[in-house]
Amino acid sequence: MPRLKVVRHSGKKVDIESTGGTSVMVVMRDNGIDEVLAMCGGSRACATCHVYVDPAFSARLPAISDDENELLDGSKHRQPNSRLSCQLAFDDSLDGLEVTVAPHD
Amino acid sequence: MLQTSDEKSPSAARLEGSVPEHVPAELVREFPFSRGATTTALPHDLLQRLNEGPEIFYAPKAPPLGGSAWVFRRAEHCRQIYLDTEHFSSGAIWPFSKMTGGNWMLIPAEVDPPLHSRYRHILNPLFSPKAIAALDDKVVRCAREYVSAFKDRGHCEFVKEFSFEFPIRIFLELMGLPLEKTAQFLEWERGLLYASSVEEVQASTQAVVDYLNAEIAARRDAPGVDFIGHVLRAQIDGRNLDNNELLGICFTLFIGGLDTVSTHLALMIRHLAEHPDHQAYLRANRTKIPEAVEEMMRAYGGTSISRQCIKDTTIAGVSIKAGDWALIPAGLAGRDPIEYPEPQDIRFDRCPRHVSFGYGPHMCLGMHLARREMRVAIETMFEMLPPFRIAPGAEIVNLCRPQPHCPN
Repeated sequence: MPRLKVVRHSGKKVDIESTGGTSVMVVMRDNGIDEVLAMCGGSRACATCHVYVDPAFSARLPAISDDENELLDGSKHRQPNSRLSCQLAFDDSLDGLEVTVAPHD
Repeated sequence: MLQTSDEKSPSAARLEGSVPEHVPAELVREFPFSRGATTTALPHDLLQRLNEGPEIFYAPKAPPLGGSAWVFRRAEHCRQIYLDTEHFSSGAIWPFSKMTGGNWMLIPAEVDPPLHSRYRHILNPLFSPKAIAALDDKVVRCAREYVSAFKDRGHCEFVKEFSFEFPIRIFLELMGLPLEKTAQFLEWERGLLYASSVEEVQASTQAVVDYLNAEIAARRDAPGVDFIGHVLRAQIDGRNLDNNELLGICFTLFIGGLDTVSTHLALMIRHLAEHPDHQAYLRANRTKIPEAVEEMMRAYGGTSISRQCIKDTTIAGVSIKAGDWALIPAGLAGRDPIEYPEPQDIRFDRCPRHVSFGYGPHMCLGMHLARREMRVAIETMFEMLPPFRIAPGAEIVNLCRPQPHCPN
C-alpha cells in the first residue's frame, strides 16, 4: 500500500498508509487531515485542497490542466510546487510522496 | 405563525394530490415553513426538529419554490447529490427566465457539466481569493459608510440600514453599474425575491432583465474593466458569448450574492447581539472572526437549493425517480447531528466542513466575496460601535421567502 507523508498546518508531519486508487485529497480527508477543506469535493470549483508537493516527485505527477492552473493562480499562496491535491491520483507510483498543506486563502 | 410538521398527518398530505405513487406514505412530512411564513422564533431551531424524523422525507410543499420535493437533511446526502450530476440536474431550477417568457438560463448555476466548467472558467478569475482580497478597501469603505449613518443614534434596524443594501452596493461597483442605482436595485430585489404576487415578481424580473440587456448592449463596442466588460470580452470555442449567455451570467451575479449575504449577515449579527459572551470573545480575538463566520454559516445556513432527478436512483434506501425534485436546505444540513454533534451549539473553534456554500461543481462562485463581506461587516461593527444587543422590546420577524412559482 502506498504511503503518503503530510506536513500539517501545525507543522506536524504524519505518515499515512493508503488503500490507494483515489486522490491525495481523499486520502488526507479520510485520515483526519481536517484543515484540507476540499470544499467542492474534487470538482475543480475551489482551491481548498491546495498543497505543496515535494519537488522530488514533480516529474511523476500528472500535468496541470488549465482549470487547475487558473484556480491555483487565484490563491495568494501559490508556489512553483503548488497543486490541487484532488487532481493527484494516489497509487503505488507515488509511494512516499510528501505534501505540505498550503495556508488557507 | 408557522405551520409545524405535526399539524397535518402524512395521509392528509397525500390527499392533496401532490405526492407521487412511488413515495412511501411514512416518508411524507410537511416542511415546517409554509411559503411566506413568518416567525419570531429562530427558524433554524424549528428546522432542527426535523432531525427527529426520517433522514430523507417528501414534502408536498417545500420552499423556496413551494413545489413538492424530496428533502435531504443529512450533510452527507447533500454532498452526494451535489456531486452526482449523472442523476441530478441543475437545469431550470429557478423560475425567472420562464416566468418572463425568456429562453436564457442562469449561468453557470443552471448549466450541467461538461458545459458548466466552460462558463465557470470564464468567471473563476473574477472571484478568486486573490481577486477578492484586492477589493478589501472597497468593501471596508462601504461597510464604514453604512455604520457611520447610524453610529451616533445608538440603535438601528440592521437589515434595513445595513445588511440589505451593503451587498447591492458592492455588486454595483463590481459590475461597473452606477451607484445611484442602489435604491432602484433594492426595489427590484424586493419585488423579485419577496413580493407575494406572481405579477409583481414577473414585473421586477422583467425590469432587471431589461436594465441588464440595455447595459450589455451599451457596452458592447467598448467593454470596460468591470465584470460586464470581462464577460463581453470572454470567449468560448473562439466565439464571443451571445445575448442570452451574457444576460444569464449578469442576472446570476445579480441574484447570487445579494439577499444571500444579507440574510446570513443579519443572522450572524443577531447571534452576536443575543450572545454577549460570543461577541466579547470575538471583539477580544479579531483573528478568530473568519472561523466564527464559518461556524455561523454552518449553524445559520439560509439557502435552499434544488436539483431535479434525471435518472432513477436510490439514496440511503429511498428510491428517487427521474422527474422528482430534490431540495437541499443548508439550514437543515448544517444542523445534522451526525455530522455536527450538538448542532445547536455555536462553537467558534468547530471549523466545520459545512455545505452552506454548496458542494461539488456548482459550489458558490462568490464564496470568497461573501465571506469577505460578512467578515468586514462584523469587524466594522466591532470597530465603530460599543457592544451591541437587541433593542429592548424589539421583535425580530423572520420571513421564509415567498416564491410564487412552482416548478413541478
